[in-house]
Amino acid sequence: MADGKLVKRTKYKTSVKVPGVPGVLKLTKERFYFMPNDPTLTTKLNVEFKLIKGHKSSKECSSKQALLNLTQAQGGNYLFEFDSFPDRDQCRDFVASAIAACGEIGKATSEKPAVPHDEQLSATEMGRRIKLLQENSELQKLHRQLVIGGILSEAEFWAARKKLLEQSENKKPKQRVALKNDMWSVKPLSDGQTNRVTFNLTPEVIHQIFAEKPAVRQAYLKFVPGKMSEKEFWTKYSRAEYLHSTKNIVAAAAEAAEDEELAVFLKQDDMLVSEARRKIRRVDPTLDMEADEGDDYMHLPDHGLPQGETKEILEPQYEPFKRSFSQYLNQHAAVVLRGRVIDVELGDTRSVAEAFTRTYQAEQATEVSDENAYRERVKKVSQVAEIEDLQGPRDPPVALLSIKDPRDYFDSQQANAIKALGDAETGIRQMKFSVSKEEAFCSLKDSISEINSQGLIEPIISPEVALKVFNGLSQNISSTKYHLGKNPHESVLDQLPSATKNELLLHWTSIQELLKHFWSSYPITTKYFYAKVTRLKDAMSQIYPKLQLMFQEIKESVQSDVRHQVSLLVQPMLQALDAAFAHYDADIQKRSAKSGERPNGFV
Amino acid sequence: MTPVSSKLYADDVSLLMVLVDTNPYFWSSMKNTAFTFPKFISHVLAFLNSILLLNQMNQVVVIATGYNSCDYVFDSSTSSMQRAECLLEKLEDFVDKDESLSQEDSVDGIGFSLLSGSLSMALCYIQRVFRSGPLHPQPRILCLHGSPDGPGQYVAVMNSIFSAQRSMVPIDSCVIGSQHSAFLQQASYITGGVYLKPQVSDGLFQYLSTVFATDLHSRSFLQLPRPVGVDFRASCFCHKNTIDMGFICSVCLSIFCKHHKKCSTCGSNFGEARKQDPSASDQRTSDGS
Amino acid sequence: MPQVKIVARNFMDMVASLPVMKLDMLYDNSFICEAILRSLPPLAKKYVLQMLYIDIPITAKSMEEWVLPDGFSKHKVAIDRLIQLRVMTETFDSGILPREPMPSNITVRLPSLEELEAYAVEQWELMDTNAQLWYIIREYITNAEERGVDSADLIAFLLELSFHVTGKAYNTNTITDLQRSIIKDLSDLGLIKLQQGRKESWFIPTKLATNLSISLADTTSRKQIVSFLQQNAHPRVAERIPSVPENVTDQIRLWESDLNRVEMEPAHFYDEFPSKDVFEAACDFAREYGGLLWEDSKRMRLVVKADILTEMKEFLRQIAITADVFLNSDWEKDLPEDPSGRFDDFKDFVDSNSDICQWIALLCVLTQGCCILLATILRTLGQVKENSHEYEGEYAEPSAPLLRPPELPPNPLYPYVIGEPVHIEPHSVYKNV
Repeated sequence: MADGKLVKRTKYKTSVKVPGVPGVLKLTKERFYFMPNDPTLTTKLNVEFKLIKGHKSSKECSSKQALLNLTQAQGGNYLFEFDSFPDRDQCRDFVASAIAACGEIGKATSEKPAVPHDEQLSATEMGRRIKLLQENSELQKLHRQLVIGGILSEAEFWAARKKLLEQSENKKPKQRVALKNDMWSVKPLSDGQTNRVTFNLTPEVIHQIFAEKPAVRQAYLKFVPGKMSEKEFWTKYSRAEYLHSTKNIVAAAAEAAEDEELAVFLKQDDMLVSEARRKIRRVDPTLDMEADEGDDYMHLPDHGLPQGETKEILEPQYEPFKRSFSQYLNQHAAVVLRGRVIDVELGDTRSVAEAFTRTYQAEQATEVSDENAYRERVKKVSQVAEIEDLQGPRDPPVALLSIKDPRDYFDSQQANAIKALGDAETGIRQMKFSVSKEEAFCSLKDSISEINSQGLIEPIISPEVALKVFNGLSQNISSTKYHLGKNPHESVLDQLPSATKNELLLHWTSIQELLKHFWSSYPITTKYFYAKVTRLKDAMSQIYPKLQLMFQEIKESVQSDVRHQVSLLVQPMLQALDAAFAHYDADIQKRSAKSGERPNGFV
Repeated sequence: MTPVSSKLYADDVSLLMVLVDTNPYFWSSMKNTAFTFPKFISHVLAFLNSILLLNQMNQVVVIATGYNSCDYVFDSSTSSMQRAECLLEKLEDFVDKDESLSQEDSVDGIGFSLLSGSLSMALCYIQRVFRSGPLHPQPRILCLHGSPDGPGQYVAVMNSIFSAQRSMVPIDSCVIGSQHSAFLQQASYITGGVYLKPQVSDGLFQYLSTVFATDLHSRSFLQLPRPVGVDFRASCFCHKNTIDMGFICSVCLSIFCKHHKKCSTCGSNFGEARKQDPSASDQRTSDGS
Repeated sequence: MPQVKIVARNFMDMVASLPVMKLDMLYDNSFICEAILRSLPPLAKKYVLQMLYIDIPITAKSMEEWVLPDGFSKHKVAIDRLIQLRVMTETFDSGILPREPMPSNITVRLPSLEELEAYAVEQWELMDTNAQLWYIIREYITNAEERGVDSADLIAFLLELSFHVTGKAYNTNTITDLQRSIIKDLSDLGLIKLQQGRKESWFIPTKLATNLSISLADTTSRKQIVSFLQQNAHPRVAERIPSVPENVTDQIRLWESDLNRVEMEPAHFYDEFPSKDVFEAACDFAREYGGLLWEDSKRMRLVVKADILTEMKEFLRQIAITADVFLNSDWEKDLPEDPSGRFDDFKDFVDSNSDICQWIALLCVLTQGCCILLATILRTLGQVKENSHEYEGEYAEPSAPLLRPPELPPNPLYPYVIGEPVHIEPHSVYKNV
């Protein structure tokens, strides 16, 4: 990925109204260049981003120009007009990150302590972070507090937010750079008088030929330089292309019969054919290609592309020399889409050819063998074409659960549950009571026969008791109703003054952040972690009294019922901090006990 | 002729499964209090009559939760006349049977009644009703329970609770003993029922008619009593300490405060922990909030 | 029949529309209490149940505490119904003494349940038995008075029947002569089957009878539609609970209530009361008989149900005799014999000064007529003015109409209490949930 630079076609303008100078704008991390298309012009630019203090851009709208204005620190500006808004936006984002990076790097290099995995930030990465901070004010607040406050390093802060960064990154579509989409339609340049035809071959064209025609590549490796010189090879190739372009298959066949090497170029590319077959095999077996036939122009020769000449009937011996335009089109498209697969300087034809061969072989190696492919294909077909209704239930393999004593589970839960109901002592208290089996059952049976003989106890309930119970229940209802609000949107926080609420929330997020870093630093394996934990612990112990003080204030200012709710919110924060402090202290003690054995501080 | 029954299903047609605690040891312990078994039965019978009175299609099934067994003692769909007599007769038979099943001669304390059994029976009955056709009364379970929780029934009870939750059957609990029941508290919490421990035991009928008689349809319009907060934090199996974070056996869900090589409950072998420190592990126990 | 029939939508509406005194009489019968309890909306049932043993008034607020915000409309409906049926102001007794069932060792062969149902169906040919049954029973009850049967007794017995056990035989000795005659009619309807023994005869309620109170409670089109949907649901859908989605049932309910929004009720309109006292006395009288439909105390107008026409007439005749004196030349015929002879003196006085008396009466009438005319003109003016405001917003000058059209009185709010309310807070307080 071309991270470090960006090249765009643009017009450099001195003001909005003038037409401007067309040219190319090239942006790198440190500076930007402008090259006018007309080399005779002198409006070249080469400016460092350090000198740029800001940028402005025009609003995106079809009637307006896509403008980008870079303002200089010393006054003055550079105005560019782009062909399209996406181009402009790309440049703008790049510029924004570059400007920011220049500033940040200047600062960072001076301040940053030696963090072990201090990353070298790319400008885009930096830009992404800045953008995130701008979009999310809460994050910005946290960033200011923790990073600028020196509690966490930039890298530590963002390490916990990799996902967030990735998300913002994913918003932009990633694109690989494809090849130039020009069919090398060999336009022979004939001068008309002499019977001379010239072909222009550049390294890029050669690269494309090799990519599209493996047979030519193979022939090149085979013939050059042993059998013929490079020049001879390309001449021969050009001859073959020329013959093709004349579309005189009979003549081509005749010439191929005479010249063995020429025949290689003229005949169909065997490697391509085999590859095409392989590709078809890899198509999803459930895809019914025949079903598409009707929609296609398959029934028309050459997919319905108009062909100048009438179709002549060829004798079978000429068949290998026939070249279909659609085949060529497909192959070209495939190569263009695959993009640049080799990483070799284009100048050296031989190394380019070899590189292509290597890639090809590597591909071949990774391909599964035909048999495997077949088996996989069959399996896939049966999987996909499975009719659900006809399948038996797929039972997952069952492992028997061996559980010994359910009492353990009980004990682990019940004590707390009972405690919450407010009668801890009765839950634990064993009933001091003992009767024999006979006695117990007899008394129960007596009770039943008592009801049978005497009838039900009437009246069941006295009005006083009934009223007492009803009032008690109503009271209970009205007391729980308002505070344990059914409405989840109505939080107890809303009853607090907004400043207090915001402060509480900020404490909450920063404590969360700090604790996350704190716990993830354990076990302490390096000095770096040790330092970090100490830093975090100091920061937390600063927040702690603040939170306590605030809690106290809230408690005094609000009603008793809200007080309970607030304490339900604040207590866990304090408890979490307490737990962290306790762990820190315990760890320090352990370490100091061990320090004799391990002087380097490693656990 | 259009079936008469299909037209009679109003919103509030209920199937009430009442689980009555008949633990003889519990009732013996209550003998000298104001709330005796005859009184209890009087209140319950009045309540059952009220429920049946509210809607002709209402159905009540009573299951006795005994010490060794449990059984259906009343079903309003089969016995229509002389409800009280019918119930008492069956109950007497049941107590006899329960006694004959008893192994030990005396129990330490007041023992535990077979809640898991009666819960399962109630759920089975409800399942049968569910499967009887698209039209059936809205079922709910009411536990009238006095005995303490039996730790040995933990797994069975919890399974019943979860199965009730799955079939969306609320379990109401009315605790008539002196102690709260963590089982029933959880049962009601998980299934969306009401958990209540009457403060005035004399007024049981009033509690039943005010709170537990409310049909499921009406519950969407009414606020019923609910506990202020339920603490479902767990304590570890090894030291019984209440913990916020710990290790959980992935097989049997036992909870430990420290890393062990082997689960003491189910015997599964654990892999090596990264560090003997709960915080280093991602596992956390659920802290019910 | 030439008259417009009052169509009560169901049995319970019919019961609710009974005059207060008759309704109170009904509550003496425990079967009626049960039937009415069953006909109540679910919430109302719960309220009744929870107050069974409470004998002092309960504040409306303490009941509203239990209601969630979503449930307030249901709560209001329930309370209104309870007040309409006067349950909230009556002590409610649920002691039920079942009729003595037939001894099981009886020699007479009892028909099986299936046979009974077949017998019940035999009497009916068409599709919806319940709807037809309700229609017939309604007629039966309405015509009861003509046959000299008290409709309250009839309703009581019908409801009582519904609590009998289907298929059990009951001795006809245990019932009154009146009920025996009803039984004969009912057996023709297939509600019960008569079984003739050697010495005694028995009656056996069929399913139709035992379902009476419920099936008559709601045989309206909504239930039919919904149950049709339920019965013909796709098996998959039928498994769901509820099989007909609630929003659909709600829509059908709304549609139905829309259809029933306007009800016809024959009534009589009274106006031109001679004095406020007479008017109020008439209102009170009508209210007492449960026949007061509408009153306008300002202009002293009154609409009463046609049911109480005769009672009302009687009452008005007594009270309006004074007015009669002025308006009827033969008024002395309406008066009873006067033994004291003092009345004759009065008559002489009126006769001798008949000119003046007539002038006074005419003056009164004229003054009233002028007042009404003037009021109408002023009000019309006011309305025109008010209407014109909408179009001429620029004229900021507010001109109050000389006479405002009468404002609609707010819907009467019933206090939901049994007896005296202990303490009711302002309405806004419990809205604030």
